[in-house]
Amino acid sequence: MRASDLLGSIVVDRDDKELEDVQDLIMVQDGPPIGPVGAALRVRALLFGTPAIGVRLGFARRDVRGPGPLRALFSALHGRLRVATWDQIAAVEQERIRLRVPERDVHSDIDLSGAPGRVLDAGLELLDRQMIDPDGRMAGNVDDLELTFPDGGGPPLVTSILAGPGALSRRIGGALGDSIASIHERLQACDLEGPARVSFGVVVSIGSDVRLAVSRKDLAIYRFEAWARDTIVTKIPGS
Amino acid sequence: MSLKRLFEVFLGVLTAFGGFVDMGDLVANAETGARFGMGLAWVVVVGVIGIVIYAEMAGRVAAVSGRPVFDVIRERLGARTALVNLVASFFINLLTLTAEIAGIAVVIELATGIDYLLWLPLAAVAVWLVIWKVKFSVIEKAFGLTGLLITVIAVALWRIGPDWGALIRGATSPTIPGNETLGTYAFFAIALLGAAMTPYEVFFFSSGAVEDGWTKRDLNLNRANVYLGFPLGGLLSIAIMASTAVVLRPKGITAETLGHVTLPVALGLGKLAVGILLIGMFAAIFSAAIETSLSAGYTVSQFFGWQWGKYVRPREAALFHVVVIVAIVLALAIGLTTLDPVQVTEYSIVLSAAALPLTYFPILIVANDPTYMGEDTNGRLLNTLGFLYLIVLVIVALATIPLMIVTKGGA
Amino acid sequence: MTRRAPLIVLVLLTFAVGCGLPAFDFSDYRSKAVSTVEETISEARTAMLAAELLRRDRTFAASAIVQLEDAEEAASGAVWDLAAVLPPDARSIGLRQQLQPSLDGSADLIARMRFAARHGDLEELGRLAQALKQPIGRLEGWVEATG
Repeated sequence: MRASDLLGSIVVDRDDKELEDVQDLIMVQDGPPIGPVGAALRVRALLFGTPAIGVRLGFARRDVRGPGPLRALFSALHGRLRVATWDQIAAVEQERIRLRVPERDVHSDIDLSGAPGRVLDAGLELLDRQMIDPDGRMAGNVDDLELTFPDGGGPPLVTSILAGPGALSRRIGGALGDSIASIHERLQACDLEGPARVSFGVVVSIGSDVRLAVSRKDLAIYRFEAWARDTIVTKIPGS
Repeated sequence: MSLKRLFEVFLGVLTAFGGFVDMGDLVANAETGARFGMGLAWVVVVGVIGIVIYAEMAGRVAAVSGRPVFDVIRERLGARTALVNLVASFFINLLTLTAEIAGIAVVIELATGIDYLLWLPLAAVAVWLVIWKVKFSVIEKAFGLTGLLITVIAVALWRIGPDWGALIRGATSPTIPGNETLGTYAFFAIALLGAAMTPYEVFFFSSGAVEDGWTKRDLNLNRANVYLGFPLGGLLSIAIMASTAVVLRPKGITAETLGHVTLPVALGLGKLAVGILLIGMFAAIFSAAIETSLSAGYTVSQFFGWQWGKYVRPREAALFHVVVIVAIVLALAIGLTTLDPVQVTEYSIVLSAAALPLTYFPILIVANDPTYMGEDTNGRLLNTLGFLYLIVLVIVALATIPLMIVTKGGA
Repeated sequence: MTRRAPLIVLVLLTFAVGCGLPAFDFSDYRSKAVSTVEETISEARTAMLAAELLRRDRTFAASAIVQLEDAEEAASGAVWDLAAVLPPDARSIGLRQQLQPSLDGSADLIARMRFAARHGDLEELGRLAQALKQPIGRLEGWVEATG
């Protein structure tokens, strides 16, 4: 399952009442150890509600301070934000998240102050971040996340980062996404099935960028760049 | 401050000053001066303050967080909105690049008499060659400083000896001339604003900060360049406006070609000065073409997360260089359709004005985010100004297309 | 279909305003004439200034010639544009008859100025620039009077 499968899906309560769309995934870093980054990220809850823009910009949950008028504007706009914890979710279907509780049992916030690990909002702090390899070179953006359900049950773990047009087209969706996918297919000489995966085991840290432990040249995502390099750039003297 | 540091600051300010004027500024200020006198000089002031505010912010974000503008746009607005932003920005960038490359060709035509269309391919190849081979800092300094030669227009103006009182009055109490309408006045106001505040400057400036390896320590250097260099560039723009207002307007001449820009200098100072002006225009427009091409590369690469920049060897940033080449080729193709360079320029600056909110909004947000900026978030005054400008820019953006239709492109 | 009709009309109207409809009545024709005359005056004055600068050796021959070429192209284009419009009524026909000689004359003189500059005949250039003052003076007078 991918993060983009959850984002934008409509949340439906036990009585089949349609609530709002998923805006973000709230994760806690308290899963089994996965690599240099430490414990794996577990998706603990879904943030859902009306207009996303203030949420996306960080006004709702981060301490983005100003400017004052913008902050006030988005507070007024972002209406209701609610949180569905993972144990409240009955089933994840195509474009729908079905809850096992009625609407009145859904809370508007979640108290993670006692959480045993770092708390991250996927959309705010992980998705769309630049990945950087040990040489300081750019290795793509975090276009999507691959989520895997652990054998013993419980919330899904983030097991890989998905990058490249294969992942981006699904995340953007619609006609725009399809056109990215088709342009990429036409341009590529390399046969890459599906999106390029960067296992979370090679992630070293998550900050304003995502640091990796392996050189970008060893990653599947590098194939497109390598093709451009070999077919075009190295043919020009002075490269 | 040590002498070395002082020299660095001095050089930086002059480079920013010399690099400020590009094809859009030349065309917009010359045309406006010939049609409206000094009545739109205030717009240049507004535009310069705007670009100073946002360029400083973008430079600060890049220096403190290491993240250039388009990284920030994608991280803050999400993949889909950023992609729409990218498509719009790339298209406008492409128009601007076409205008700059055509401008190079026109300057050579003015010097040689040989049709500009024949120079277009040469100009495009030259731009690409410099990007490929020449170091970033050398490009900035060499072309920026040579661009200073355009100040010969101010000297020519002084030599002609206009009625300074009338000029100042025209600027401080603007009126709409009898043969113009409120519609064309507003249209050219937007054009001037777009010429002063072009988005590619911000993309280039913030990526350039990373290319030059700026850190927190360089914040003051950044501020000096921006607070001193850009306003000087604005003054030069106003001098261009005044020169055509004084020389061309009384004769009923509307300045519709780059050749018209040389007339006041020829009148006031003669042949040598015209030669100096042509060299200065060449350098300024050439550097603008380089910056616009690099911006195309920066924005696309930053959106997709590819390695970008001239601080690594080309083979380390293959896709970035491919994008730059594609942009230059496309611009050349558009130029070869024989569209009038000045008309292309007008479209590029007007559409730039309409697209400004897309670029500036995320910068304003991130400059306030402590995760990126630490303690260097915006102060209250800067936020107020930035927010006010954003409102103005949104109004401008909404008014642009209707005005374009109603005035038939400012005719 | 009928619901969309206003939208279609709006779109067509926008295109019409943008592209320029043929003149409906005298005042439309006159405003088209005014813009043509102003453009011709601008190009002629540019040509005269470029010629003067060239004769006084205050600018490069190449620059002056380029500007004369641009001026000729623009002036003849403007004059042709007006000539292509059908005068809608008798008054308009009268206006055209009044302006046409000066417009054609100016465009013609500019073309000859370019030719003279190309061949380095500065004296002829000066004579032609002098001659250009007449038709342009008439056109400027007309614009003043029209207001």
